[in-house]
Amino acid sequence: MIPRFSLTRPGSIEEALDAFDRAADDVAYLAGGTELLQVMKMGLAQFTTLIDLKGIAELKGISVLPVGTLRIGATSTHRDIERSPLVRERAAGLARLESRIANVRVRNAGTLGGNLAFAEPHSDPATFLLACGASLTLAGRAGRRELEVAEFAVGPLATAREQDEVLVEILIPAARPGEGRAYDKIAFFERPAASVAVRLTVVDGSIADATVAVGSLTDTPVVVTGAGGALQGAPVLGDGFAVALDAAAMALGGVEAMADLNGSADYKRHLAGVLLGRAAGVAVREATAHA
Amino acid sequence: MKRVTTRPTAPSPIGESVPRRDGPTKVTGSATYTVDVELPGMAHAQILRSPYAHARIRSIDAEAARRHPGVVAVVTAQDLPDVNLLYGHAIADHPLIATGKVRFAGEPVVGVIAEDRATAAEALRLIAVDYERLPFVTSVEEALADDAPIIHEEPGEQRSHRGFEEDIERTHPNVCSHSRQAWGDIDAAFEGAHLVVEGEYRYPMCYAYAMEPYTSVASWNEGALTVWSSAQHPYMVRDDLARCFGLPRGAVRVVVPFVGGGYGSKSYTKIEPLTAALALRAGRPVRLALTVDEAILTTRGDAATVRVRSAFDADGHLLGRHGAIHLNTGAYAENSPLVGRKAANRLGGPYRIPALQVDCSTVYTNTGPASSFRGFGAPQVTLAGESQMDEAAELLGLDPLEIRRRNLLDPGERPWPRARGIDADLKADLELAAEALGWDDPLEPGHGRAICMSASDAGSEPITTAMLRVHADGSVTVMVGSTEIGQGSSTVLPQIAAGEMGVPLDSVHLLQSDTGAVSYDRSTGASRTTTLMGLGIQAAASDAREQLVAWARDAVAQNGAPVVEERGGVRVAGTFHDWGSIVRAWFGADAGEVIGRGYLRRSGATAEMPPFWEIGCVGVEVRVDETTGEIDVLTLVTVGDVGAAINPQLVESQDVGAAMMGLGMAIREELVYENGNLLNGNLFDYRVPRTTDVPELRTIVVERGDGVGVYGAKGGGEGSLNPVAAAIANAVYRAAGIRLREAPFTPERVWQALRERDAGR
Ligand SMILES: Cc1cc2nc3c(=O)[nH]c(=O)nc-3n(C[C@H](O)[C@H](O)[C@H](O)COP(=O)(O)OP(=O)(O)OC[C@H]3O[C@@H](n4cnc5c(N)ncnc54)[C@H](O)[C@@H]3O)c2cc1C
Repeated sequence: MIPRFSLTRPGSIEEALDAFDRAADDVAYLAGGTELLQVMKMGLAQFTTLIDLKGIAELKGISVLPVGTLRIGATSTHRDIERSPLVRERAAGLARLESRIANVRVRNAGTLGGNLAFAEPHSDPATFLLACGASLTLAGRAGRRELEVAEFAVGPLATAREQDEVLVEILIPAARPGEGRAYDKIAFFERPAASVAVRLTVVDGSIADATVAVGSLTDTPVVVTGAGGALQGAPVLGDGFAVALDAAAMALGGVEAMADLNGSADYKRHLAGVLLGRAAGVAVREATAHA
Repeated sequence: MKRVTTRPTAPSPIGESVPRRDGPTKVTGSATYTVDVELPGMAHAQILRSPYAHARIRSIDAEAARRHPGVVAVVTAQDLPDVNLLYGHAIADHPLIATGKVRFAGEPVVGVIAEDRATAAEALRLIAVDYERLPFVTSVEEALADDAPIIHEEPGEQRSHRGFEEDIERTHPNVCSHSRQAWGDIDAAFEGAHLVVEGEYRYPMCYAYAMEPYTSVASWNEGALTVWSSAQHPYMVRDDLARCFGLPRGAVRVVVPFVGGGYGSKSYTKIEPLTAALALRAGRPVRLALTVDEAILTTRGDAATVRVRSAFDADGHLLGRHGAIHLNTGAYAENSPLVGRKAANRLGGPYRIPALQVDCSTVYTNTGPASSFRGFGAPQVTLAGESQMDEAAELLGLDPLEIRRRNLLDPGERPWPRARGIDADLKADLELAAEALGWDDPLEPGHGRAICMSASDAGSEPITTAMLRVHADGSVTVMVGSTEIGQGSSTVLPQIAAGEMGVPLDSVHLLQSDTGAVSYDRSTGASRTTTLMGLGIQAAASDAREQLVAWARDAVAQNGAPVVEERGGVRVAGTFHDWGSIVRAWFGADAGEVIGRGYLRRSGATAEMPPFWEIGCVGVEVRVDETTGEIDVLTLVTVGDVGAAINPQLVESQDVGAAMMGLGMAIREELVYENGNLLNGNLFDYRVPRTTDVPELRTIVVERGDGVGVYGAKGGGEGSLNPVAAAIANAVYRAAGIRLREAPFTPERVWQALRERDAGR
């Protein structure tokens, strides 16, 4: 049962911040509500004022900035992103990932901003954006600031966002020549049991650099430097690639995984290793196609 | 759907796949469920539940809640001195609201009634309960330890409606009931054995997930009580309510509107006594509508640990089977003593076993109470029994089908002394499944196939009545105490009535499940409705026709002209008179009706128990993903051996639904307790199968006319669940060489088993 609350619908970020100031202590921003209302229903948090961000034009829309960066407004829904031709063209891995989140009802309501701001450890997009070196913009009373996605989530359900700050947009750098970005997950329940995102660049048939991010194992998605390092320098064809993949999977052994209903820490690390192999293969194919 | 039909023909529309009668109403949203019942002045209840698995209640401070604006009443056990708080049809051990102590996390402690649900929910937060926490147990092993905390200090009163005769012995204070099934010389059987296979198998604690959570509305009027409820067995609920409130049974009316699924979870009494008690103190009608999360805490299926030894001769004939079953029954008995009885009966399976001894204990733990759940002990024990058949086949070098052929009971053969003989051709069913599955076709690497079977003593008690009224215009009203819970009774029962009266289907109207209006039926469970209520309706139709023929002699035939009964009426001197015209002639007006009555008891065709055997026969082909441990069920074969399919399409949907439910429990579903609390008591973390999980289906409906029901019908709808976990386990063994004995076969368990296999190589 959702306790009673009052709802305001600001038309701009300014108005939203004003509404935040005016409200009593227990106030929260509302986007799709797929997390927030659930949390309130379960009695895990109580808010008497909700500020609905969905009417703010600046938080909407998907576009490409002059430098080639893909800009996704924070209140873009998963469905908007999944269906956006710009995303499909410039971040195909993200479009695919979004199309596999939850079910169409959740994707129609839930937003990318809400997903990141909620900072659930099993988030799909957070893992992918981490590997891509994406950043995001926050707007608060103290002004605007840009943060790396890597700096944003600081723990389970905890972020670097100040209470009054509105998450405005997510910025994904353009892929460099020869770059491939891929993501894979395995899920037994609603959210992934394990997920892996790989970003790599292929130069002259071998991997020039690679970033591997792992989701759902730890409090927040993490970049596993050893795994990326193990791929670096590997040829993309033949045994060399397989050997590098094994080494990268070995490097995941050091991840401090948490057991949950999906399985033990060992098993989840094993799954991440399997996914790493799959995602790296896709990233290499994408990279070679872009070269 | 493939149909195999050798039964005698039946009058139309019996045997025809007419569309579901409740379909359009349900899909257009116009069906009235209990939650849609609105009464003048009705208030709304919310329940404060225990956060602890086991605790004494020191005190409850509800003053602030009582003063909260909009609150009508706050009710604790202390506010109900005039109510017999303990209910339970097998053992009266279940207080409708916690009295002095709580026995599981989620137990109702305080009820708040307010003008609306939100206000009631607000008031819950103003209540302070002082608990003294007690040591708790959540597993059978913990509960049976010598120094285990005792969950029920006093054994509950044993009641008469247990569904079995023996006394309940308590060998440990936490044993709720004990049942034994035994025949033959078990020691001799094992002494003479060529091969003994032995193992321990585990079946998980599961939730039936009916889409509609438990809901009741209660209203008191001049000392009489009316309760609308999502209940499968309205008459059983009526009897429990009469006992709790000291009322004659006739003063209690239980009405069941549309029900959003049952699967056994809505059998017997659930929240009706609590709702009625809240309405009594509120002095107003009260609705209590639970959420899914609360429903999960209200009832679940019994988890089982099954230790079995089976003795075989060198040719693979079963010589004996020995079993020890422990069911994790949770905090209250509910219907688990009967589930335990059935588990003991069903471990033998569909086989000829010269000697058997099975002991089954249901064990109290500090977890949500377990009760009836589709299959009723059979899924739990069939995993064990059918795994052992494949284990023995392998050790003896026999094909899994061959070992079954050698042991399956022949038609008419009694599984145990004094039981009804098997009313099915089990070997023919096995061959049908084998053919549909492509048993002899080559298997791809990583794939495996299996076929498993079960036979359940089903039908419960044949205590059933039916009324069939023929009106002056010839239309018919059928009145039954059996409930439409999605299984299709509101379609099938009119089909039977129309066929028996020889009238068009659309002239038959059905009234169900209102103890103030329709006559007694014991229950809607144990796959009994089509068979037993079908017989009741057949008897009522015959009674109505007999009276109508007599009325025709009296009021239609002139000068003693002969009256010849035909389909839908009589012929007198060459002229056909339909039933309506006879009613009009007899009353001398366009008015009046005839009332046909049908009674069923343990007598005649339904004297022997069980009333029928419910057959399960399921085949699967699986693929095992060795990298992740995931099991993919690719093909599912069901054989619905129902004697006569009154509506074949509905039989098929029941079979597929049942098998899918079994598939969920086999590979994924399990309620997990940690520190006395349910970890995954919600639909995010407890995942039931979806349409996307449905494998390729090959369904077979078999009608050999060998059941006790109309035209040889017998029950279906549970059978196809029972062998699924075993079939998947056996198929996985063939696919990957790993023997899974603990359901659900989660990806991690499979992966662990694969690692052990590889370490052993
Ligand atoms: C059934 C189901 C299945 C799911 N499956 C998956 C899955 O497979 N993978 C996955 O990654 N996720 C999954 N999710 C999570 C889903 O992605 C999120 O629910 C959704 O994206 C959250 O967005 P929202 O707009 O609904 O957030 P809300 O519920 O509105 O808000 C969530 C939180 O973020 C804050 N917030 C929202 N927007 C902003 C903003 N612009 N600025 C500041 N704060 C903000 C809110 O105050 C709140 O604290 C699932 C959810 C459900 C219900």
